[in-house]
Amino acid sequence: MLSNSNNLSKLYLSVIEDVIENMRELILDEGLEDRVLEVLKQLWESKVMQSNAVDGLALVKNTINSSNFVLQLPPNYGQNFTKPTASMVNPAGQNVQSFTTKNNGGTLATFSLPPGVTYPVQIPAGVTLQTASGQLYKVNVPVMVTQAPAGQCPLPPSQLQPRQRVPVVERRDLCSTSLQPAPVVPSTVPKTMAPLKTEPFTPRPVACPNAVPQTTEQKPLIPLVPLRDEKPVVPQPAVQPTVQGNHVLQSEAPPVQAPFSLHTQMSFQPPYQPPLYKSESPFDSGHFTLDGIDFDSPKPIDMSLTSASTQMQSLQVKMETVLPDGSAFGASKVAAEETVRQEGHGGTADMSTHLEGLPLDASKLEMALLKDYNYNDALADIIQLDGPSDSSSDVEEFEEEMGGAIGENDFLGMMTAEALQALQEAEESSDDGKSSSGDDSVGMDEVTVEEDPLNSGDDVSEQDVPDLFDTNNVIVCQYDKIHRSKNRWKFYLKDGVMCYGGKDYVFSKAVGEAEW
Amino acid sequence: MEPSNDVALDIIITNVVAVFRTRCHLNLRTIALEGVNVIYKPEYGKVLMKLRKPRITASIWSSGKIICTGATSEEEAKQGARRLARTLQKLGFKVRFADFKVVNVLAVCSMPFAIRLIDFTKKNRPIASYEPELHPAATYRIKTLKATIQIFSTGSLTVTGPNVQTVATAVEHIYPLLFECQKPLRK
Repeated sequence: MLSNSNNLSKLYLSVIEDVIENMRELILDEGLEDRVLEVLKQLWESKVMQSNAVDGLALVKNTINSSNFVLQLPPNYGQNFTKPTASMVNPAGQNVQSFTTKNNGGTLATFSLPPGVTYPVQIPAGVTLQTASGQLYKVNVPVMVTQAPAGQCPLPPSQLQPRQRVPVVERRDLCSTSLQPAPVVPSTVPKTMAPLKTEPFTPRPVACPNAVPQTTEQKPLIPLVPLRDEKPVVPQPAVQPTVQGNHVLQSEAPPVQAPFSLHTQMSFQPPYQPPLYKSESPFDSGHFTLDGIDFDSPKPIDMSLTSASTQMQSLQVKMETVLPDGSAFGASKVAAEETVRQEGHGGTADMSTHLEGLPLDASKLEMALLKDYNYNDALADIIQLDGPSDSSSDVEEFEEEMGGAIGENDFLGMMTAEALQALQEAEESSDDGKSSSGDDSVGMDEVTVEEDPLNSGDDVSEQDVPDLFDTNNVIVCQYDKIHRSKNRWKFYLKDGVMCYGGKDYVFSKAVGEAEW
Repeated sequence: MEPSNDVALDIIITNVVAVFRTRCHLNLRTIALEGVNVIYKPEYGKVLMKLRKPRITASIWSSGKIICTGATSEEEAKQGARRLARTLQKLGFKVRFADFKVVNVLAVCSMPFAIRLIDFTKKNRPIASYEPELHPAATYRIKTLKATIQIFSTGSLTVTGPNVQTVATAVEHIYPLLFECQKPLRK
């Protein structure tokens, strides 16, 4: 259940991050220090690990050894796999073209990476990668996926600023794959795509995505730009932009600072940059003003690069505003992952269209930001449906109790008095001619006599098959359908967490049968 | 046509239904949340509580009326009802075991012979009714006993009555009538 434990720990981490982040402001408002939150977080994480409910390994944020993504490789691609590499070594320009064509070929080739594959992995262009979570990433440029050493902070802190929020990074950050030379910041895909051509590549901020999440932290929901990965990091000095630039479309995405450099880079692209930038233009304009724009649009899972780029922009803006902790990085990544996962499917169709124009309008960014806020909520909802967002019966309960109480109290009071009276009388005389029970006088005597023994109650009941299930195995979930026939039960459950044998398991669907 | 006095028939009681009152209002929600082995049916305004030991199912209403079904004998029904009341008491309600009454007993019985239903119905015209298109059994109601017997052509009977004694009496009563109209075994 390695995959499950990975998912689970990511989920828990994201939950922890979410909570911490959401509390941060409140805590600060209260005048308490940030340290409190950090301490809380440490305590929480250590408790989770101690409980052994989750695979402790996975909790180490940057040490995901297992590949988080599953790439399916059609047989025909097997051979081509290595081929691009070689070709890539050659002058980039030509190869770029060839790859371009490949892409255009429209072959939705997906290749699978054996789970135990060791990094770095080179991925030819024109393939569509699918992560374990189902997200698709289209590689427009040959990329190399590498795994950053554990604990490595992909982005140098200095790079943080211009980074965009990386939805990409968030995406699968746990696997901490990083661009070969440098962490890929917007690595939306669990693996960071690095341009095959690494030579000219400087380990630059490409890692943005990784770094970004760290800085970001505030919005774990950073939408990931799935596409981001695709674009191999341009071996440009402009780190982030490159990362973002990974999106073919995205050129616009590059972080604020980066854009300019990216510009330059972009211009160079054809010559040395393997990746194809489908739409350089938006990027070229490179003027997106990220000031104060706090975007947050969920990244569409689709490959609409444009949207991705937009998101990148917005992310970038956010990044600036936020100075995340290094530690937050992982969490935010996880969170982003979650978000992306959720959102991605939803399609930011609107976002896409929105982004189509690729203008770096502030207004558009703002829209993106707004959407991101929505996603944040959605993400939060996904993780936690109770607590503040619990819409269930707190009020209802109260009302019921109120209404019931009002009606019942009097009645109960009366009953109590009657009961006391009855008891007294019963004790005194076996015969019970109480008026209180005088509704059916017929057979009353027999009944009344029997009432008493019940109250004394020793013989009665006491079977209580004493808590067969004094168990710790618990499932907390929602139900689709619960069915019973005689004593046969069938359960159709969804979206839940199960603690079984001390271990936690998360599921989106569960079916069960039982006999009572 | 001799009414046999010894009817060594096996009358198997399959279901005993009893009611009792707790003489106090019951909060169904509390029972549903804190009770064990309960099914809450808010649309019907009742809670079902199932017991294992005497295997019975009880329908509990907020008024305090409880209907207890599934027992296989009167004694068992009573014991189960008391257990139930005890459970409710433990939940915190001021429960009294009042007005316990067995309201229905369902038993099955099998005749050692098959029966000609049409013939039987003709002979017992007003008391017995038979509508094969509606139901394959003839229905014989004994007013005095307040019992109902359903007679199938295979010789199987299902008897329902207010108590076990009534059921036994009903079977005894109908045996001779059925004996008259038995179907000779052909096979």
